[in-house]
Amino acid sequence: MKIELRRYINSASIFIVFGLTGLCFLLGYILLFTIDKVYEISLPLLFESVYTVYTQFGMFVLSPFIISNISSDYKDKNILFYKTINISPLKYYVNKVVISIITFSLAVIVFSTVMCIIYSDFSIWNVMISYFVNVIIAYILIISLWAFIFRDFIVAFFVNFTVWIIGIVISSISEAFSLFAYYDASSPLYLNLMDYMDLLPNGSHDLLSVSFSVLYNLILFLICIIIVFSFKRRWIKNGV
Amino acid sequence: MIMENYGLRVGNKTLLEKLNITFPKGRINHLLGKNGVGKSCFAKACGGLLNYSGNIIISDGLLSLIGSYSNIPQNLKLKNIITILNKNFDNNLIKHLYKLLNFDNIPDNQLIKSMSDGQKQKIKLFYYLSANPTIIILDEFTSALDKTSTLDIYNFFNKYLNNPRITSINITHNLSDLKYMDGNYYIFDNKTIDLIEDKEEAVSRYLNGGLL
Repeated sequence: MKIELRRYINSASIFIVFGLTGLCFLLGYILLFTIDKVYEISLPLLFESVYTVYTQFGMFVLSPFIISNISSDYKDKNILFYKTINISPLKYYVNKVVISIITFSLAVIVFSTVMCIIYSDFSIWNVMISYFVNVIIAYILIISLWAFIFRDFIVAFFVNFTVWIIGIVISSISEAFSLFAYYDASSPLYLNLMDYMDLLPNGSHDLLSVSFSVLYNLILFLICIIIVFSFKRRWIKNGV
Repeated sequence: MIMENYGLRVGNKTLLEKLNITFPKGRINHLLGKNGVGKSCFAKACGGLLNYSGNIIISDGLLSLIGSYSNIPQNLKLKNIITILNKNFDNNLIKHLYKLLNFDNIPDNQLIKSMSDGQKQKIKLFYYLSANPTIIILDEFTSALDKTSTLDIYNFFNKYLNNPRITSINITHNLSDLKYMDGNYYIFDNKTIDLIEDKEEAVSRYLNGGLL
């Protein structure tokens, strides 16, 4: 973990993470008055829009950077470096995922806090942080998984994109399949959050699903771990 | 390191078959061969990264592959490498290697990516040798280095590899390796590896594409 942190700091990756997060917030702000034609932007509206950006465009905006964190190690033939100090494929994947989750979460906390300071309103800060962080965790787990399995950046990117689209298509068949695109803007999770925001300050907490999202991410993490373990030989093959 | 009835296939191509050969300890074993015969695949198979048939008998100890496929992340600094090594390996060996590789001239706070090729190769050696391997396979290690760096590295290898504890194989195209580092000479050709007794004969066979 310390190695990944050191690499992040040395290569100024933290600035890229903050830049991408800032881009999501900026897009959320711009889309409000360009597409929704809203000119008086309240804090809940802004957060709704930024959350929509994360759920709709997150896979595009975040995936190149997250994939490159792993594919660059394959391309630069760094895998024996990790193997020499007994870092297993599983530990490698977890370290990459954790450092990305920490930095992207830190960035979203900073930007959300700044927004709340600007509006002098912290009433939905904790709700939005929970929702943002859960989306970030899920997307980083999935994107990193494809990056781990596929050596080539382009292949990983398109597999990620294709699986994401397939998930949306499956989830659109019936609400029973909504778990295939749990964080998408067509999901009950998203729609309930929008209802909660629209009803503020009287939004019912029953509309929120933070605990279920945590459970969802935990199961997703376990699935990813099992897949990574199954493909552990591929790690060396990809990186040598 | 002894290979018994050793065979290596990559895809549909047979690179080695029924090979019986010994690479002795204490001397640098130079392995020459033309492009595409499978020298790097042989190195990777020795390191367990590719499947092979037959047996490789090795005495106790670790095997290190040092080549173009064993790099150090370029966004680390020498001081980061030292921290990682101190946490994982014998500190006395790390200090010994640091001194032997003459790292006093290399800034420890500079990113590896901005260092010269010679400095990068030295850091690679420092890292992989700190694990204290007893079998060391160098794959085209001195290619694309300037003369000064190469001589510096030859000097290091002559001190470090001529050790009765260490088996070393130096896969190379660089005939200067043979000039500056005495050892045993092998030619990889026609799905086998032959030990050549004489340096001049090895060079001659290599230059003639393996033919006598």
